[in-house]
Amino acid sequence: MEWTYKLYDNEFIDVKQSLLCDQYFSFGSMYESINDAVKEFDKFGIRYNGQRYEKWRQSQKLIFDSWQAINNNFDDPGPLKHDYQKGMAIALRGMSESLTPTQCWKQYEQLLKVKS
Amino acid sequence: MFVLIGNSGSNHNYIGLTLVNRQPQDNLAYHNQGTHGDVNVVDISNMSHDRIDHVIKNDDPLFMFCFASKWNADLYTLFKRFGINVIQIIIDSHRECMLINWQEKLRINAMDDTDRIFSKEWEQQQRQSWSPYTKFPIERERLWSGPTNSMTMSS
Repeated sequence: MEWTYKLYDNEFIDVKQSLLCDQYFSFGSMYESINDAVKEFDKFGIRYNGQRYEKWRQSQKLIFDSWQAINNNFDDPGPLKHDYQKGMAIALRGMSESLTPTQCWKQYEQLLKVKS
Repeated sequence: MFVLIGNSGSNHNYIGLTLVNRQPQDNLAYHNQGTHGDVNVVDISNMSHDRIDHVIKNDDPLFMFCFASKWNADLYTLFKRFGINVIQIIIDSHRECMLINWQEKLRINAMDDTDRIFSKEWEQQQRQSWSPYTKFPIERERLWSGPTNSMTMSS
């Protein structure tokens, strides 16, 4: 949960844009759409096409499935398979409600328990 | 040749290999075809300037990689002296996917022992750090940038 919050802090070193660079490749383009990914590689003179993107996306099925599961379970993260997914689900919910990490943990910790 | 700035989970091996016109074999993780493999992709994150200088002059790498937390003005100056392009993978949107990548590729479905051991150590750190405060130490996991690379965890 804390890690997800950090990733959305623009000053966090892992996500901060460095001015000491010549060009930038958009990480998000790979998760946005085929067109965005193709356009991004095209910026660098690389002919990337829908077929290659689909092959990559298929190789990343676990990632996309996990992402979807997290997004589908904001309200009830308990049944999510992995612990990290549960932490991310409450963090994404907390951020969407403008909660601080501490507020988010206090409010949603109980959702991590699997209901019997 | 170029230097790619990124992080664990930023798809830097797949992106880098594609940018040098390689078509990597489909896989969940591409470490073994890039920085962890026997192709000439060099992680310079923890190298001395002398070593980097040697690599540039003698090894003709496909591309080089550096963790964002290790990138600095001195390194930029060094690479510009050789006229080498510097590209940052900018974590602009869907940032949570970087974390999913890290968890799935290094922890849950790690493809080799290097990744597996690294993530096990991280998991132990999280348990030690958070166990006194919560029954859910991994769900509450945290990180900050540390001395070795951007995925060093601490409490």
